[in-house]
Amino acid sequence: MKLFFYYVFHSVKNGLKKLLKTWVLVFFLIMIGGGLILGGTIGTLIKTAENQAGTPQQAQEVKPDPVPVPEEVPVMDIIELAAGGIILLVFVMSILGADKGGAEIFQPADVTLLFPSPMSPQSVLLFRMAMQMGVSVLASVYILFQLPNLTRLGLDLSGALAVIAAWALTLCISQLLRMLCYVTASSRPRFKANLRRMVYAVLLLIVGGFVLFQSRSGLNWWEAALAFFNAPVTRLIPFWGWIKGFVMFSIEKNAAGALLSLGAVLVFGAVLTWLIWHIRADFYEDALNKATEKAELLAAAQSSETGVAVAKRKKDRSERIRRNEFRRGCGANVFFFKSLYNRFRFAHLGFFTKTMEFYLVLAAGTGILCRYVIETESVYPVVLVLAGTAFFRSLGNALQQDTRMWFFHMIPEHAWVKLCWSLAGDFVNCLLDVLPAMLAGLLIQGAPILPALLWLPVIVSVTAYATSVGTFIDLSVNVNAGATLKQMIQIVFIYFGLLPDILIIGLFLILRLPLAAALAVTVFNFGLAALFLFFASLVIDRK
Amino acid sequence: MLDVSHVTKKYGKTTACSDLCFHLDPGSVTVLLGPNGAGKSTIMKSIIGFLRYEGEIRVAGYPNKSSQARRVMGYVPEMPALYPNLTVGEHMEFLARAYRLSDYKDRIDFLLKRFELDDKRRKFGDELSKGMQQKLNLCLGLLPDPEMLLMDEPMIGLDPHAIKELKNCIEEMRSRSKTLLISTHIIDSVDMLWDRALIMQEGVIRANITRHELEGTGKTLEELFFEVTENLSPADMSHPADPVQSEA
Repeated sequence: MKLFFYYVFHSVKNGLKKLLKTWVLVFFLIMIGGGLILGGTIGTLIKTAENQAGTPQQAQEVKPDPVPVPEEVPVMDIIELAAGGIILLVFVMSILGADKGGAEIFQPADVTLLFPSPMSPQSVLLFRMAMQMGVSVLASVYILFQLPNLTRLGLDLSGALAVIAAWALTLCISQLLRMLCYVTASSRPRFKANLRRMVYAVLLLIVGGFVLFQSRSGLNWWEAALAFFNAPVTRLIPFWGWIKGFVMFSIEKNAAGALLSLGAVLVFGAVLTWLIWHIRADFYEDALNKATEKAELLAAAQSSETGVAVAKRKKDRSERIRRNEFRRGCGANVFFFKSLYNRFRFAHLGFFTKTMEFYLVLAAGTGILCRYVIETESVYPVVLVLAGTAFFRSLGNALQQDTRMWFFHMIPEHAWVKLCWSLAGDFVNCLLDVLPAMLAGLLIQGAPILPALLWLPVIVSVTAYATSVGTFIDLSVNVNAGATLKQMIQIVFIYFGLLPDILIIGLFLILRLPLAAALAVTVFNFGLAALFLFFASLVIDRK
Repeated sequence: MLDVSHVTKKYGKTTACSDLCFHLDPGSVTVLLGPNGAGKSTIMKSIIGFLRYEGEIRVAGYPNKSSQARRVMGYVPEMPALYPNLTVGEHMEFLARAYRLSDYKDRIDFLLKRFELDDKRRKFGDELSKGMQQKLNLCLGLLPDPEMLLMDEPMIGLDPHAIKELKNCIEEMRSRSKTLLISTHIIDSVDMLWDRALIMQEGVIRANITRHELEGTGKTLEELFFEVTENLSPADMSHPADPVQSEA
């Protein structure tokens, strides 16, 4: 434990020290300063207005209760259903990624320093897992921004905080479940081979049970979903039900229920940790391989004189499927043509990429849901699902593969032009991935296509903005700052960058000008994307 | 001190080590020689417990993956890997805590001074040059002062001063009856240090010989190496045929 705290204290302290030597310090100062000035100004204005209107006491007397009491059952039902769905999704994704995700948590230095030490493999695993959990919880700090939205849904502050605490618990428990599966799989090949099948079987069982329940109960799909997944007894289901129960009991002001659920999660979380500790596992070889790959990537990123490092592929691929083919175009546009050339080369039937297939399934599922369950012709569900997914896919730095090419800086054109071409490739790929999915989803739903197509440029422009911000952060923040930290900064940037989008859309929709709203937002987002690419190019030029 | 018994390691269909058997006496320095791809690093990683393998490896009588065995073993890896957010001094402290060492401050000072890293104490892992990283790697390997130390290509990337100090360290450890297994493909770097030499090629041990036995044959270690790995006689080695000149 002392070792863990020593490592955490020094690595966090030093990480911050390094980070604050970059523009991130200025950024945070601007954020804090801006917040203080803005908050102070708004506060003063409100106070002045209150003084002009009468005494604050009088104003308070006429003011209605700002927090609406959650009387409407459907809102609570929706929250419970959504909470259950999200928790299940996180658990499923964690367990599905257990076989390789477990080995990936180790740092290269863990292999050379901790693996040969007298620490047991389980101790090393728990050491790194605790770090990973801390990072996950820290990375989810951004959902504090959702507090106003949660209170707007009808939750009071304690309920909203319970939702956030439940999210942190979900991340921690999912990490424990992943590690339990990983250590079990590391020495039991049959378990490893059948892990995915078992998860799919459980999911199939849930879906099958639900369909059976719906057909026998005579309820419609929506009512059946509420009755089946929100049944009180579901709050007793280990982990999934307990976390959901903790949230719902907190919202319902049932302190005993909330504490019992929380206690159950914590006690059984400790049991999971005990199990991970006691299962005999031999995972050093897998961890060694993953750590070596990581070390090679890191070394490649650091070795370049310009800081624009050599991209190394994770896997050795055969000559037939070599990734980075630069066979079309000349000058800066080679990055654009490479992107498209590879897209069509590796797509199924020369067209269907994995991303596109994923979007298709998602849009089709949403279309079916809208048509047969919710029974709506609104285009927004399909648009929002695709926008959300495309947006989250663009977190990180999609242009990294290009900017880390050893010859990126040698192409005799301005870095901004090269970045623009690279982003253009990403943009066209995104367009090609989203468009068929959107059409398919809307056709299945039977919704009008043209109004939905208005939002396609918006989706693509948002991803372009997110990508350019990611590129800027990746190039300007230390290589070793960590993907999670970079992603956090990226999310803060995007969150504030997209606020004007909401204002613009709101304004134009009030004026009943959806076309103008879509156009304005698209132009604004591309403008921001260009600005951040310009900043990124300055970073490249300076190096 | 170390018993390697019928160890075979396969990566898929490739056999990296095949039925290896050897034994190291306490207080001896053994060099593991072999061309690239001979399986030296694989057997080193198997001994330290990183890899799964067939066969048995025991250290001081304990299975090599047991915590008892790890307490007597140290390891200097071929490729240094450091935490980017820990300084040189913090790396040493961290490792001392991981090994639960006591009274280690003086030893840390001594090792950092010996390998000229004392003035780099506040440098981060990712701020060090390759050579500095390798020096820190050595300091970290030497810090627990283990009974048996495995060194995988320890001289690569070191400056002459560090090589000299490392050789002195090896001599000192031998004089204190420590057991050392040093893997290398640069024969000159270990020529004066060894008590036993193991020459590997294509995953098998082609020669297992003590210094005394080699002296009896009148050959040098280099000559034995080429004889074993390339079937070259000492005469071939002293007058290598230049194919270009021969054609001319």
